Amino acid sequence: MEPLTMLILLPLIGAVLTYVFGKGNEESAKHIALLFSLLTLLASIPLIPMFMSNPESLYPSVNYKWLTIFDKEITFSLGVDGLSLPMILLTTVLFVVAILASWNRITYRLPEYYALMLLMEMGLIGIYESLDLFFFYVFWEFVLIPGFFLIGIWGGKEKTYAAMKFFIYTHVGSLFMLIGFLKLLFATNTTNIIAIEKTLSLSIEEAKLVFLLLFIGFAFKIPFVPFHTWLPHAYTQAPSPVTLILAALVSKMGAYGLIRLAFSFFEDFFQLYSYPLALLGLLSIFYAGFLALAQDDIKKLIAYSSVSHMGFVLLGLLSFNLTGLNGAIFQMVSHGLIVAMLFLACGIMNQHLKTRLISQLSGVARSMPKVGWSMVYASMASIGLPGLSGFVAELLILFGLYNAVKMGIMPLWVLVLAALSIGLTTGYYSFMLQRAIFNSPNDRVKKVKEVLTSSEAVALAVLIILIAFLGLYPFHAVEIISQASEKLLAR
Amino acid sequence: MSALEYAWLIPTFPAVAFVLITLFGSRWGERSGIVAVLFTALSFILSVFVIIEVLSGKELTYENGITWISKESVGFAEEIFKFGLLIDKLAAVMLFVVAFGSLIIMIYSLGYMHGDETVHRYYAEMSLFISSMLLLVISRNILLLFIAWELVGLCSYLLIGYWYKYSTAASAAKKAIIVTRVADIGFMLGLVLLYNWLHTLDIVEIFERAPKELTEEQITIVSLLLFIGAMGKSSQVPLHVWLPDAMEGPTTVSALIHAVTMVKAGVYMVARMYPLYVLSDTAMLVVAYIGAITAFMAASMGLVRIDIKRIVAYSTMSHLGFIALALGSGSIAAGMYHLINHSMFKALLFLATGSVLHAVHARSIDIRKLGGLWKKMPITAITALVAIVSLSGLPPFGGFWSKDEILAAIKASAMHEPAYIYLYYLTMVTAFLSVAYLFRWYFIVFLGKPKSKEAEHAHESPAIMTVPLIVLAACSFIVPTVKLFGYDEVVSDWVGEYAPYHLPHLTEDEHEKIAVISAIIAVISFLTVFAVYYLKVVSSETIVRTFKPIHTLVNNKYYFDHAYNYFAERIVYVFSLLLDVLERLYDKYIVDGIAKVTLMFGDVIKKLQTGKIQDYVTLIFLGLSVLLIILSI
Repeated sequence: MEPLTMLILLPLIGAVLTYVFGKGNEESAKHIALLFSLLTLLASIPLIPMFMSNPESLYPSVNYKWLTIFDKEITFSLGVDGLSLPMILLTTVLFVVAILASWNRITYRLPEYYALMLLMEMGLIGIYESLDLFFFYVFWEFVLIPGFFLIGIWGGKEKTYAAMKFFIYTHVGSLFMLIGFLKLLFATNTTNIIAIEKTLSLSIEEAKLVFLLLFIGFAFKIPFVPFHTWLPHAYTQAPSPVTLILAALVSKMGAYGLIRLAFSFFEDFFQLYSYPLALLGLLSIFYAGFLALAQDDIKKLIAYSSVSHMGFVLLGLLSFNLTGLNGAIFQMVSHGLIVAMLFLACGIMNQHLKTRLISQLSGVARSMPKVGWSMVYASMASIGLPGLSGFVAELLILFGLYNAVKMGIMPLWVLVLAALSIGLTTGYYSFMLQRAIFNSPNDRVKKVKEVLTSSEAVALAVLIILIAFLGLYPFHAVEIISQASEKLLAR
Repeated sequence: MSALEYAWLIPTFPAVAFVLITLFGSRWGERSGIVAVLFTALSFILSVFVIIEVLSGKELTYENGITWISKESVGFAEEIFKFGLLIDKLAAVMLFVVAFGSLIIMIYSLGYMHGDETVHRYYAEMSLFISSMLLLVISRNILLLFIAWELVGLCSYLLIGYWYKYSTAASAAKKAIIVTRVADIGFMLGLVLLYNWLHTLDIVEIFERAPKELTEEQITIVSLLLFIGAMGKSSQVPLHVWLPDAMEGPTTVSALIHAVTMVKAGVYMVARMYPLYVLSDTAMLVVAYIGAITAFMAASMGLVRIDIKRIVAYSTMSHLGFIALALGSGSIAAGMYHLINHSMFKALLFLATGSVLHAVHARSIDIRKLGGLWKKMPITAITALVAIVSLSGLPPFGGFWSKDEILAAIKASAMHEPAYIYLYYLTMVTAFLSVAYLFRWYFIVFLGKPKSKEAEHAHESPAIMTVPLIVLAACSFIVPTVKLFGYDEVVSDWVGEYAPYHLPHLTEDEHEKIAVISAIIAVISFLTVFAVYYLKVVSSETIVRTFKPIHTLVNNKYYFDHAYNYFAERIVYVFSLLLDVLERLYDKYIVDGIAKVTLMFGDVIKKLQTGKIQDYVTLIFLGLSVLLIILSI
């Protein structure tokens, strides 16, 4: 069977089976879900050699007419290139991690939970594979639904508020995007992304409007400040495996759309508006960075830090050269892994210690060494320590930005501020580590014994290895990504 | 077979130890120490072979290392991310010093860390520390150097906070990582510029191409940005505040940080990039000034501290200032010579201090509680004396000659750049202080009568600790002789290959004059301390009272810590708290406000749905009329 279609169908079949068999025997739901997430992972790995041997062979891989209304054409078209391949691999890996992390965390309504998780995986893979705006939009909205229930049913104390906010807020964003899509459809009579790229011709005024609509739509999802306030609620209220998915993958939907559609259709406007966009990126980096410093709740701290790091993606795009673009895409992958690990470690801590407040924690490394040190490791990765993946992304983005400065399309202070933000990031992470993970344990922490289940240990180990591998030897990853960047710049 | 070909194994051995101990250390417990020592010993043995080959004239310039990111992926014609190795004379000498110092400290650790609960973590982190430093020394690519540089920073963060159960240790670790990483932003920006200006990060290529392709202004900017990184690492004013606090780690960690790794990385980087620095007079002058000011401030602070380890820490800072000053004054030979000298003596001094602390069972102690240890711990006392005499620069020991070289270099530089002459006088003052603070330390700790129970019950440390002390003390006598092997030329000649460079030179007469003056200063200083702390002619309290305002200023560490703490706590943190309030208001009133308005609007519109057919007909009629009016206009 065609590999890309299979990647979408596998989690879907898995979801149905999980639900059906899970109804009879709750425990079996976990096993079926794990099995199918592993199968999906296995199915995604052959894409690497296929892509490496011939990058264009999978773009598109499936392509046929689906529906024609008058002269408007909707196609069913799937494809993978250097931008979507890393995202798909990230998705398939992180769902295995998330299901392992859910193993002992989720205690009620297992069949529904695991089925929804797999549905979400299907939606995400669908987005990254779609080469047609119609299906892109369908999958895009589809992801919201499992997300809504996963937060609303298995979430924390304010889960209803958080789920509603997540749903409505990001849905409003999607509407901007939808209007943009409709405009594109009427301008080109097709929804096929490759066809649009070739035939798109809009007047400047119209193009400007569509660009803004798409940009705002994606800005809600990524999110950029000031469209971000759904995020702290959703991230803190969702159960930590779901938070892991939201932060690592759902926010990447926005960044992915930004590059795949907004950037590739309207690169000119990124250049035209490079100053205000750079300011927006810096605003996200610093505003969220300062907020992270103020948080007492570790999960909220990670949430804001996540917003802050996504600002770097925008800066990388604005450099308009291979180095910066590679950095931006690399940052998406690296940030996905790192933030997943942070939320995972934070979730395990919370489960045993019954609190996430820094002020109530102290000396976690003492009573829970494995989890505590995982937290240290992930924090170091997040502040961009060389040898771990975050550094490669930051370095490439900074290298790329200066090139843009030299070309005169970016002022120098953008680069300097971006570099200075590293100090801020180091500040809030090391401040958190000092108070929560180090120091001598308080009474609450002393009582806890570390019980790291094997599924949690495997999940952490996978992330540790991947983060170190990408950081130590980014050669192949950058090579894959570079194919997409070259294509974007050639246009 | 050439040992140079296997040089890549030198940093690999401790890295393997790190991986092994991380994986199995909890099972091995204290036995991890033996693994760590064995692997460090392998590195040391290999580095001995390497230095022998290098001194016999061979060199390793290994360009074709690992390609980290291919040139195609970043769209450049040159391979920028190719990580090769470079072992020339400079690197080989440093490699040997680092490997030797590390090995001694690791062996000593077996005794010093005996009985610690999580000792396997200690050995894992120490192994990674040594591995990163060795890699830093031999990297040929400045990005690889930076990667190792940051790993060195990480390890010192982890090791300073090794006893994180003490809140002071956790806080000191945080301070170290924040200060050094803020400094590293400078380094990173320097890399960014090199990458874009020269399209290379290969150190040798930078040397070859920088003079031709970069303007002097560009070179100044790059070298100063790199130097900001070095200021953080080598604790130069004003980025020095982390170093004294770093004493919170185990004393062996302090020894490693101060003698061969962390702080030496900064000045070594400047020496490594020396062909770039000599091209810019401005950069050299800045380096010299920062170094001289650091040396002076640190020496003055060391004179008023009372904590046994903190005084030694300030001594390190002061000597790093001297090294930077030497480099800035154009004498890489004096700088490297002082660096090696200091590595040996500081390792010795720290290990001796560790021996004292081991004897009194403390992490650190107020020197005024000690005293009279001379009789109780003779080996420690004698080896400490060897270290002090050399470090302080009393004639005719090693430290005196390197100090003399530095003064001569400043004087020589002053001949073509008058701004150096102030440094000459400042350094004379510092030289006076250097002798004073170290002997004050020694007199109070080892002579007189024990002033506390701990000091009374102190006894000599076990052999695993004293033997390394004796070995180091013996080596300290050998170090000065390296000068006899034409060391100056060894480290300075290669600079001349790339840049117009000569060691600064003075006439014999002038040189002698400087030696005499600095000898007189050292002796006067020694006699003063002897009079105050041994003969007790004047009590130290009287001196403090006489110079009250100066003492307050110095005792408060020139208010650097106050200023930084104020900035971090009162400005940055308060600003972030305010922003947090703003964020809540924004979310509550604006974002949720839009939602509420929408709901209210729905409530109002809802009232139109009356269900009466007459109302609907009226509305339709009204609507149609409006539409017609609009259309007719």
